[in-house]
Amino acid sequence: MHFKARAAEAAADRALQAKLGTAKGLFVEGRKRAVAEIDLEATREASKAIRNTCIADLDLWLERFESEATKRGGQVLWARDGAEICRLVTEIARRHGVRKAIKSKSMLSEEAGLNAALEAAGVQPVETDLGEYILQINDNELPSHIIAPAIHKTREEVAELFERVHHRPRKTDIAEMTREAREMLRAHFLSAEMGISGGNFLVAETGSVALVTNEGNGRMVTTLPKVHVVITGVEKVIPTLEDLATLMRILPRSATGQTISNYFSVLTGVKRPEDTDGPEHLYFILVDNGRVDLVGSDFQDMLRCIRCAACMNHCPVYQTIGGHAYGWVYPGPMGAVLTPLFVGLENAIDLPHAATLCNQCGVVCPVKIPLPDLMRKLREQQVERGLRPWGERAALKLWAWLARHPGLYALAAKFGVRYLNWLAEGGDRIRVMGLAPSWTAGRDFPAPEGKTFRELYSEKRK
Amino acid sequence: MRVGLFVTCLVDLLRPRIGFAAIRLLQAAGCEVVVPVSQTCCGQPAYNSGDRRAARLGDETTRVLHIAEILAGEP
Repeated sequence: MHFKARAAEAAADRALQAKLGTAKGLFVEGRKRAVAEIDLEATREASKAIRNTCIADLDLWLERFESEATKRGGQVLWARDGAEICRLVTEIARRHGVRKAIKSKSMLSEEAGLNAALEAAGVQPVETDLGEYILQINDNELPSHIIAPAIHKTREEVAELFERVHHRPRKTDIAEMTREAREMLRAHFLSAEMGISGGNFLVAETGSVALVTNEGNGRMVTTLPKVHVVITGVEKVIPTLEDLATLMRILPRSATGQTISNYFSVLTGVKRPEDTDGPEHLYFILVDNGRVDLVGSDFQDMLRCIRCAACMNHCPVYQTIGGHAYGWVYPGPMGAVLTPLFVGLENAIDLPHAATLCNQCGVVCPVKIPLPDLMRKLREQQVERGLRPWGERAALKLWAWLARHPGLYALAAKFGVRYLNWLAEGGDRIRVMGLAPSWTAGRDFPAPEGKTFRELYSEKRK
Repeated sequence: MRVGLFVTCLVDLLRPRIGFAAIRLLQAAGCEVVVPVSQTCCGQPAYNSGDRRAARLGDETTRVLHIAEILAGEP
């Protein structure tokens, strides 16, 4: 992964920032309005406590979930990693003679690269979330946001894509474009033999999966086909429906600024004789993929995450570079922590540094994950394992040595300021930072005022 | 009251007038301001870079501020 190169490219993309700016307004302002309706701090504390309860006894809650879900006709399967997700889903597809699978949004399916595996097994995967659908028909483009996957696309880009792929006259009205997508998807909804969904929460006491959606596609995916497969992380389990109600007060508000999402489904068990719809076969694939190792580690707090995306919506770095620059499934501050933990610190060397540690993310997180602290811990691990570039390490050593020698430090500061003044050429900013040009590759550096504080202070005292 | 002032590297290098403004403000509030000359860095660059060992230079700053405290405590 080459975060720096992708980030530099994205930072120079003014069109991308315009798109992200619109979304930022929508999500940030929306959240502000929505959380004003509740006792935010009390709800955050309660949500944090619920999530901590589950993680403290994760095995017990998962066993309870498995037993309740099984009682109601579901089958719980366990996947250690992405490869196991793919193997389990393709096995289920083969068992039920599935040729086409309709999908509602699932980040786990992105972690696993499930669509490619299904295609290889002769099963056609069809994304039905509008954002995911847009990306799939655009040559399987990757999502750039966890709840608004096509946030990096303009209406015009989508209009052009629909015209090219749907072979219909170009439309630019959003309602008309959405109707066209629905018409395209309708046939898939009716012909698919399997539905694949994610899960926002798993309720242990009832063996249910809770789905938070805005488009209605989730309900079609989970009730029309005869087979429903839920793929979600093991950390998504919560004890009771009461807990679900608490978390639902804060999830949509934090995510989209909605009091409640357009659709909120709590799905329990297979279709019973008296039911008019629902799946005949229900599978839960509960996934580890790096999560279980976080229990009891320095990063256990991260398991509280409910995937609302408030952290990325409020992040000045995400707002500038968008999601693709982060290089894997999860962008923004939560991605800067999760990606190194899931794919390996050495494979995501820049991500813990893809933040200014301004703590906007920590302030808005509905379950109070101390994201900047976790990023700093990852940085410490990188230093301990010798993964940082030698130039950076040498510079810090020199800096630390100087700071312990006040006389030399003052002298270095004095000459440092002279050097910066020379670079500024009499102006108020430095365009190219001499010995560290990358510092000024995307920004100017402010010029000093002439002398150091301590020089001026000594002069005044004389 | 005597106050020991830690000016920070940003003020020292880039914006000395903020340091002088702080001194004027404190003096206007009736404080006597002491600036320990042996102060250097608070250690944040190393701390935020994950280099805990280098960040311990913050200990040095604590020592300097401790001196300031003693100075400030003098009658």
